[in-house]
Amino acid sequence: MSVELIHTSLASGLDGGSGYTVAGRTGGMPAAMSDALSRLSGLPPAWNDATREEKILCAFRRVECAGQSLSVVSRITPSGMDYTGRANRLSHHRVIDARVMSESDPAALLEDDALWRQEWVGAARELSGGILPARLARDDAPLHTWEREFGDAGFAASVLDIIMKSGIGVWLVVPAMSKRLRLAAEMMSLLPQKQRWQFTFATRPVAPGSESSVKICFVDEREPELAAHSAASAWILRVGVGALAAQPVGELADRARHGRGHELANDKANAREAGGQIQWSPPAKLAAPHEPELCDTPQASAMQVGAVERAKNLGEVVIQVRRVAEPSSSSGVWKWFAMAFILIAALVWLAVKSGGTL
Amino acid sequence: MRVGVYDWFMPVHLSLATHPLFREPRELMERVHCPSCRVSFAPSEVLFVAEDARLVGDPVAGPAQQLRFLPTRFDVGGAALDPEGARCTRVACPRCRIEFPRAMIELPSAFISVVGAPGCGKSHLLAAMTWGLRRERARAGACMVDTEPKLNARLHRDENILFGAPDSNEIVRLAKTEISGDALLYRTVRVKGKEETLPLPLIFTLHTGAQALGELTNSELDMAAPTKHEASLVVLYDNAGEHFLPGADESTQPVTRHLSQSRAILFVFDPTQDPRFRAAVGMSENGGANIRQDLVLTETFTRVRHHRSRHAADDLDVPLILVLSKADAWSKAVNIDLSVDPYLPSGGLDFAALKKMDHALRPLLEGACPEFMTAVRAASSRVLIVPCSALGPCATADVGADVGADIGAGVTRGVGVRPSQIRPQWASVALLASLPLEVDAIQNASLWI
Repeated sequence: MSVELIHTSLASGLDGGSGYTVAGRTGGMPAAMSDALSRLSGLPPAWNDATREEKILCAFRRVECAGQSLSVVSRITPSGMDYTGRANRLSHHRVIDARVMSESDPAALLEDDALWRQEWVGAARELSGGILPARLARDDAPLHTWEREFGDAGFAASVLDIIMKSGIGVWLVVPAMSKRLRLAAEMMSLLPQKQRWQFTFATRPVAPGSESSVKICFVDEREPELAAHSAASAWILRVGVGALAAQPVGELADRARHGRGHELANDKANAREAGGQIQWSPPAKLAAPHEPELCDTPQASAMQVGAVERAKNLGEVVIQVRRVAEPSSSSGVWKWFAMAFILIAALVWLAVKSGGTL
Repeated sequence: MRVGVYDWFMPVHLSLATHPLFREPRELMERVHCPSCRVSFAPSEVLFVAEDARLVGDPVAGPAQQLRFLPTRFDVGGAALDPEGARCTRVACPRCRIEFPRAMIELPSAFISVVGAPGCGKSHLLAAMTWGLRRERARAGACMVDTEPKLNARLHRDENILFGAPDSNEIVRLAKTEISGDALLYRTVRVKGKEETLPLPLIFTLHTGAQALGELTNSELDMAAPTKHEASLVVLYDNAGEHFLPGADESTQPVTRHLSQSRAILFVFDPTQDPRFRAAVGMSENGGANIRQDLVLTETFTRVRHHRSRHAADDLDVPLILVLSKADAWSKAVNIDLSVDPYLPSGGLDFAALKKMDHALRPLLEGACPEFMTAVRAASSRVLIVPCSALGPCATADVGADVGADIGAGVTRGVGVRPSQIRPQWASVALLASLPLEVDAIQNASLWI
């Protein structure tokens, strides 16, 4: 079951307080978890002419709660006026469990607007929870957003390399109007699905070093918090400067520039050059059979959406298999059947020859 | 610099006396209280903040902060040298390692807490009162300047929004104070392996007497070296109202523990959030924003008692300035006039006018909000009631339509102001009344209950 918490300004919250308070949370949530999530709810002030979209903070963080490490995906967005007539914000946090981690990635979850509340209507109340659908970013496409913003998508690989080596979090300064969440999602797509949950990130500044800090913040160059720190700080990264001055090289950088399809095409071309012998290898992950669920409830429809998404993601894998297997005229299954038949026949013949009777 | 003939023949011992090495030792405070974590320490324990760009990262202050260190090397001017030899002047608390103004180890400090329920107008009031004192030093009889402007950045942001463009008709509004995540309001540190989120205070140097009244010429009015006996520091705290609600005092987020050090508490009471007060003055419904402000006051003084380790029966003896905010909305209905600030012609507060106002408002509150006045009597034996309007009678404007595009669905009705119409009324009075010297002066002025 999905565990979530909504924190916003209300005249009366779920715990009785007014102002910024818990508006909704999954029933049975421990108080310690509720407090820990509430502490993640602040939205840093933005620059003067920031649009609503630019003010949104999307983050994947890990927090300690009662000796347990929680993986929390949050979306904090400006949300109308509160009961006092002042600008309000709404923080929606989801605690991610092992099931969701096995089939989704955090940036893809955040990119799906349908999973996140934009406003809170009505009184504070407990939420029933539900099942979070799977969302997984494609891993075979070139990183177009990185290429557009930085001129070379390979910088995603360089940044990833720095984060892996860095003990503390880093801030990557991105040009104004950049799609920061897309940058995060594209960078994540360079990693295998399971590793995507090892990289915490935020699309607005989060002070490094704190419990709720992240490995990488995508910080707009207009952020007021940026001015408070020395531009020479080693943890503030700018493309073309310092650690990101050199042109990115390596396999990962190539993949960022051309996508996985490019690698596969290269493999295919190499194989043809080698004499037309196609090496078949089973795909890393096969599609699990999936029955569409038909139900009228919103949760079920959300699940259905998730199933479609899952099937779409897995479809990429199937396409990949077809491409590799294309030159072969016969299907591999018949080979296995033939081999099994020959093996059984040989065993029977040996048994008969050694004096056994049928 | 011109060198006179006398300087050439000045005796050696006189020449040395002017050298920094041989000047009179600075008089320091015996103990200093950290304005963020409240721990008390001797000036000799103060840590310095490294200036060399290579010395980034501190185990307590955080990896993005410059290293804090106890200096062992100094230059001839007495400034500490960091491990790379850079001259350091900034200082930090030995416990939480949050930077504070160096003046805190040289001048006495008075901590003043601004307290109130969410939405009662604390941030507007703070911006208006400090702006007023910056501008009206002669009338107010006191002059306040930022001790270190960088540390008051958050207040400057609010002051700029409200007073930065006095001719502007563009509607502006202050953001609701965040409970976490605003780097100008809070700092998270790791003390003994445990994270703590601490408040960043607003710190001012207060000048009173001849300097403040402008009797000295500008060249003599040197803020960098104020006359010791006429200067002190005022440390103000502006928390989100949510932090004062019952149950919000957490050990991981001890952002209201400054109450234990407070010389005075400014409790901002918003009459428009009290349904009985609204009824008494004939105001319309406010859409359901009714908050039990008596509980917030009781919670505040309970925390003061707990953090000062005082017996339940002890009198706390903390002056309580009860600030009745948003007076522009209700002052006409109760026949009080705030158009004239209560200052004496010679400068300073007019205690008689304050007393008169206090006596005019007390029966109103006793009648409309008896439960709140009961909480007030239980909280402190020294109470002064001061009305104020941070924005003035003409400034409030309905801006729901203007900001709707930005905020999407769920818009109720937003309230903003036009800077050209802002005329604060009595905004600085409450702060002046709570300033250290003034509190002492008026505590026997029969103003208190």
